[in-house]
Amino acid sequence: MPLIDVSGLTYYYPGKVPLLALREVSLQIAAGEFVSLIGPSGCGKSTMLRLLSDLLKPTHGTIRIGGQTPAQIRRSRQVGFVFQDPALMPWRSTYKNVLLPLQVMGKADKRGRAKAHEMIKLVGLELFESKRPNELSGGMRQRVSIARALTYSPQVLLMDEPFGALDQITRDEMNQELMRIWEADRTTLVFVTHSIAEAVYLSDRVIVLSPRPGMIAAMIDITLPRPRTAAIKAEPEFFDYETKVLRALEGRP
Amino acid sequence: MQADPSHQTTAHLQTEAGAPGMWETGYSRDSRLERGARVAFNILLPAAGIGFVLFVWNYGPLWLGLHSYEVPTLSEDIQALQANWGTIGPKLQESVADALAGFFLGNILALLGAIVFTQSRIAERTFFPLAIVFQAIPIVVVAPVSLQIFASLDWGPYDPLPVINSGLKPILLVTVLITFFPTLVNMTGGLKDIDPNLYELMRLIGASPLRARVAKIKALSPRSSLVGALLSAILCAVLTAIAGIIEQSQLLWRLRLPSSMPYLFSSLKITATLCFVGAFVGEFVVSANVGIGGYIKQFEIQEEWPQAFACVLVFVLATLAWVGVVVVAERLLFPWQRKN
Repeated sequence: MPLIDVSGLTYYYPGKVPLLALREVSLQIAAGEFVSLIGPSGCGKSTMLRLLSDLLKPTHGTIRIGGQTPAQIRRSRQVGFVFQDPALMPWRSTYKNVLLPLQVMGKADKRGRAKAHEMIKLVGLELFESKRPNELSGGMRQRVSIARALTYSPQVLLMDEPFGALDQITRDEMNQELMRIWEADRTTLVFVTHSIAEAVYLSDRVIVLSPRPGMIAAMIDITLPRPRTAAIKAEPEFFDYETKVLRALEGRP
Repeated sequence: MQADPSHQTTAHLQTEAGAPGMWETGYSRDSRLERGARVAFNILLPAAGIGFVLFVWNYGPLWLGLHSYEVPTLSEDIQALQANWGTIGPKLQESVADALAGFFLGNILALLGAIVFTQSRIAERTFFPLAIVFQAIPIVVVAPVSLQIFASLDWGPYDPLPVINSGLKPILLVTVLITFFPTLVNMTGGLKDIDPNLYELMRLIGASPLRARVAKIKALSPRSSLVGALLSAILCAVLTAIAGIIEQSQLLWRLRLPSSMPYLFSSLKITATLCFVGAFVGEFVVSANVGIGGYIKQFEIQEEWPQAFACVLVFVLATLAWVGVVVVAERLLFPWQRKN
């Protein structure tokens, strides 16, 4: 029984001429799975995440997460979202930013505050708890954003190109960090990216979307052993997977 | 941790600065020299400008051969101020009270109005254009009109604000109006200018638990009895409305208001001067010998120009002092905004 069950999902962006963003997408994601959505710009990857998190409503088709609708999941605050832009409140410190969801939910009690500290430690920012976002680097800000999404223990974590704005070195570092964090508790994670290497390195499965309208072009299971370290990127197997994803992106068999 | 790329750029420029070239002066290697240049630029130049005006004010009338009853010099004005401080001081106090009452009341009302506008599109569509129209009315027109209104209205025992002397009410109206509209217009924009990602985040985490309760009640709603169905529908509607209010107030307190602080302070800086303008014009028109605006008129009639200029001088200084208080308050309350 998959945790996330999407069937026949179609989405039109409203407008004078409705724009078809996703057509007849069906996929299942198991609990504890790390799935990447990859595809060129305009293939509906981000739209998919917004539909899963109830920020958009499907035109046709159904989404079930643990048997519930996205609206129910959102109401019970089971979705964590990490944006490409860290989207931190500039007037709040690291700690206060991480605590925000718990404050909004009325759970910033002793346990909640301990949880916030724990998450900041998990992303390695315990020395920067009282710093404001403008005193942090791009990578650190994204760490805060991840800690904020984890602080209320969501059932599903959605990440929309979270490292897209970072330089390559920081990005590789953040990928390893994410692996370490994710492998610790294995929250079901749907990750949108433009980077083939990132998708292969992180995922259990890579879903390749074709553009305009977004449709599933290929699903590639990545059976590289876990825990994964940066060394795995030098393995021939890793290279094979990259080639497979690249071919699927180019529409070749 | 990762280094901020901007530091690298400046470091790079500093090492490059050793080579001679036409841009070299732009990046001085000596940071003390750089700081000195900045001080000169930000402090000495404005001081020189002010000094020049004061110099002309003091010696210009002499050079032109004008007498103190025509155009007095700065030192004559200061002498007049020293001699008459006993009367000018209390008048200045009245003016400051008029201005600050309008500043606080006008800004608070404007903030409340802007909050209403962000919550109700109907209210905004109806009244926002009016706000723009009112802002375009010159204050010298508003002052006599407001005096006329208060003169015609006699509430007697039903006076809504008996605390305020009836002679002061038109002045208060002028200062409130002159501060109200700029802040209203600015804050209506400011409360809406929020990071779209943070707005989505608030939607994801901010759903009131009442909504889950409503969904449960809807599922349990009895279909056989009409009364039961009606009651549960009413209950659901009420709970949904309360959930909406809770969610909107979370959004307001946690996102909209903090995001809009730069807008609020830019309005406060503008209205910090405007409230003094309003107080002066109001006092001048009301002619009840209230404040500096009322007091200065007698010098006009008596042609005692040094005293009139002394009044203007202290009035301007009071205005600047209040603007300074607002600027310092912003820097103390929101220190990170300047770094961004």
